[in-house]
Amino acid sequence: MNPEKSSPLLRVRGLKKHFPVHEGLFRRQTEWVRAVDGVSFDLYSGTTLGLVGESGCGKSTLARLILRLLEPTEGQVEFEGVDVSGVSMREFRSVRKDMQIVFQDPHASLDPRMTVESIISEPLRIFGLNQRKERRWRVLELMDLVGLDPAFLKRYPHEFSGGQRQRIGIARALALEPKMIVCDEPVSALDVSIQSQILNLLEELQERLGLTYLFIAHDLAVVRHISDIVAVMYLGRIVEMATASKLYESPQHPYTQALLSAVPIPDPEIERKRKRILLEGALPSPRQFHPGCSFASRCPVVDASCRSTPQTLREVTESHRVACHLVKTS
Amino acid sequence: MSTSDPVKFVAGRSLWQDAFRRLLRNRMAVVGAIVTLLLACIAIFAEWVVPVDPTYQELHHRFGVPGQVHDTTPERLFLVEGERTSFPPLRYRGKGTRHFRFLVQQRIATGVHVHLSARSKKVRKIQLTRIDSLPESVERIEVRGDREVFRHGKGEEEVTVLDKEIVLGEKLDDVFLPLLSRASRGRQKLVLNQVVRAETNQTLTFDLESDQTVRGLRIDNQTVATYDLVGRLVQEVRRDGKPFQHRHLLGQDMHGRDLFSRLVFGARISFLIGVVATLVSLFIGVFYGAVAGWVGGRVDSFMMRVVDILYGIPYMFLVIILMTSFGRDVRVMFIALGAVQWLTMARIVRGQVLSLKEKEYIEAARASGGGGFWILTRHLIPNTLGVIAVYTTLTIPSVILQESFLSFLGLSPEWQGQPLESWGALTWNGIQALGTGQNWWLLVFPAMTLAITLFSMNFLGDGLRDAFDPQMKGRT
Ligand SMILES: Nc1ncnc2c1ncn2[C@@H]1O[C@H](COP(=O)(O)OP(=O)(O)OP(=O)(O)O)[C@@H](O)[C@H]1O
Ligand SMILES: [Mg+2]
Repeated sequence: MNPEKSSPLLRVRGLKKHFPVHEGLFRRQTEWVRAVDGVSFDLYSGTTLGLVGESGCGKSTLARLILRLLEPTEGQVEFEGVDVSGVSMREFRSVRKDMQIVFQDPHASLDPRMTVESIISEPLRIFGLNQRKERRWRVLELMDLVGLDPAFLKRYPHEFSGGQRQRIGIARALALEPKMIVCDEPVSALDVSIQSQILNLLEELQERLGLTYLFIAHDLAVVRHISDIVAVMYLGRIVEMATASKLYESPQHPYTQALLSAVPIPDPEIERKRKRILLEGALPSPRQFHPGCSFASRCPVVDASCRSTPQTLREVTESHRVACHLVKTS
Repeated sequence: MSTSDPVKFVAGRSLWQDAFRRLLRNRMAVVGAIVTLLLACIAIFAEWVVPVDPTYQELHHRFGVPGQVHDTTPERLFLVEGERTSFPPLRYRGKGTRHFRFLVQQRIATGVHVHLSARSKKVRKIQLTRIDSLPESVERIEVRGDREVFRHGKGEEEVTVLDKEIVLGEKLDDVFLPLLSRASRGRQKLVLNQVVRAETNQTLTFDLESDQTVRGLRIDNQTVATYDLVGRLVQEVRRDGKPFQHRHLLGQDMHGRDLFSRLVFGARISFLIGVVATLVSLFIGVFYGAVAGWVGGRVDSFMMRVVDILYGIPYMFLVIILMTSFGRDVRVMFIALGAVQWLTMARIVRGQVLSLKEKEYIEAARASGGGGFWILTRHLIPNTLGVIAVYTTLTIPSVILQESFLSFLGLSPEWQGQPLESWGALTWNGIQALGTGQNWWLLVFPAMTLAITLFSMNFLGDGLRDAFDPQMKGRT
């Protein structure tokens, strides 16, 4: 796999989403929530980009922007070399076939009044793809693909476990044979034992179908194996992005280092010796505007210039980019 | 999986089925449902349930005690020249041949027109099929068809009724008189122009045959000429000539009307008002709430503020004002009650839509290319239906209660000038009757019926709510 040679499948440039905050009796707009605040990255066909960040840092918002479930405030999304952020919804419909999403909450993402068959076939019905009979075979095929017993065709979501439900969600995302799937924390709501099953399934599907993933998670451990490239997000921005091996071996950004130090290591020997970096304070409100580094308020190595110097992602070593001016370029 | 594999699909249990199972386990709700259904059937098939016409007055039996059995009393009529008198319907419904007895009490000098009018939709004919008379004293019966104007749905129509003179001693079996030759709606009249020369106390029986179930066959007595008839009795009799017997299960009111029959028809009116006013509120509330919830933002807060303000108005006051200023027409009442009830419906639907809108499966549908219409019809409506159904069943009894309350205040609704006697009105009559003596049944039975109905409906509604939304249990 050499991603640099081809052009990227998905290209995100300067994507921003600011939500207006309405307050008071007359719901006057008072402030902005900078949920996504200038995100750029490339995603190459057949690869996985792992996107990691704390809760509320704007990961889901980013996913929704890419899928145009939300309109961006600013920035472009290019899919297969075509800028799709400005096209009309009607034109965007054809892109929908190629871009699908798997949601975090397997309880909320399946309509409780639909059978598995109607859930999985919904995208097919919307696009008017197969005939009724063929559609059932297609659904059965998809169920088989994600490891669901075809006998459950006529069952309802509440009759399944969380892992099975997530498989239904994956089957639905696969129905239109997309090129890319955005997985928005697909395993966060699941038991640890089931998490790996779903991750393995996703990996297997990628191999078989040549899928491209944007894989969102809130902890680094989950994305480690599945990702080729990992991006760490903090308050609506990417603070560090590198190939998985580089990021895990030599994290550069203090935030990444803090996150990694919280990931338990199976070997108790190493685990004991390891130095833990504890982040102080909670995630600051995304409503505030930070002229300098947004992480400055919690950074263990913060200095005077951090709060005023704007941070941009820059390459420190080959395919390793960090948004911290303290990190030396080698 | 190969496509030739036979697959046995395990049928799942939908949320509806689940809710239904939970409902069945709730004993009170099941009892409530059965009682409600039973009452609804009674209201729908009132004509088939009642033993007598609820408007039939047996003036001999005013304030008849519950459980009393007696013959249908013949109606005594004192005819005044030029005035129209009517015999109320005797048996409430009837198809085929019905027998009537006509007692001539005193000498009839000239012709008396007997108009038969039937309230039914599709009666094609009513025939006079047989006339028996006592030959010695009755000189002549003339069945003469005047040119009569019949009023029906499409206008007026002139029909010539067959003329026939029956001479005494003649076999009377084949005497018949077609009422109308073709299908006609509305009131129909049969003119039986009898010139009966009879001395006194003679009985005349005649049979009427109708091709449809005739409701409330009335025998109107209209004089056209001078006569010196003083008193007559008319009575519907059984095939063997004996009068019908009625058991007045729940007693009779101040005009000798059967209370049970009145309650049965009262059910129809109470239910109708409950259902129609609820439908009005459903219509406005669902639309309003769905729009507010779906559009959201400023529109939503404005629309909900309007609801809050309307909530603040003392609504009974509003209904009373509406009914006193626009008349007591039922339609005014429907609008007044519905206009009040929709507020809660709007709130509930709005809340439901608002929470559904955030659900990821709606987003999933959008991500799969589903447009607004798709989402509305495939996701929003099916998922709000349960709540709407629950709230609807809870609204109906509350509307019935409010209507009863209004009737109780003397604001009973009217339809085309006629008061609609709902359970509330009957209860009010009962209270008034209490003052005139020991007529407890006139108050107790309507009040009990009302209470049982409201309890059943509320039990059913609560049960449905618990079944559809187990988390909501205990909350209002
Ligand atoms: N529709 C909206 N209106 C206003 N603010 C919003 C909206 N959607 C998200 N936000 C805000 O944007 C920020 C980012 O939200 P987002 O859901 O993207 O976070 P996340 O990283 O996915 O978190 P989690 O891990 O909990 O899913 C949050 O502060 C959230 O409150
Ligand atoms: Mg999220």
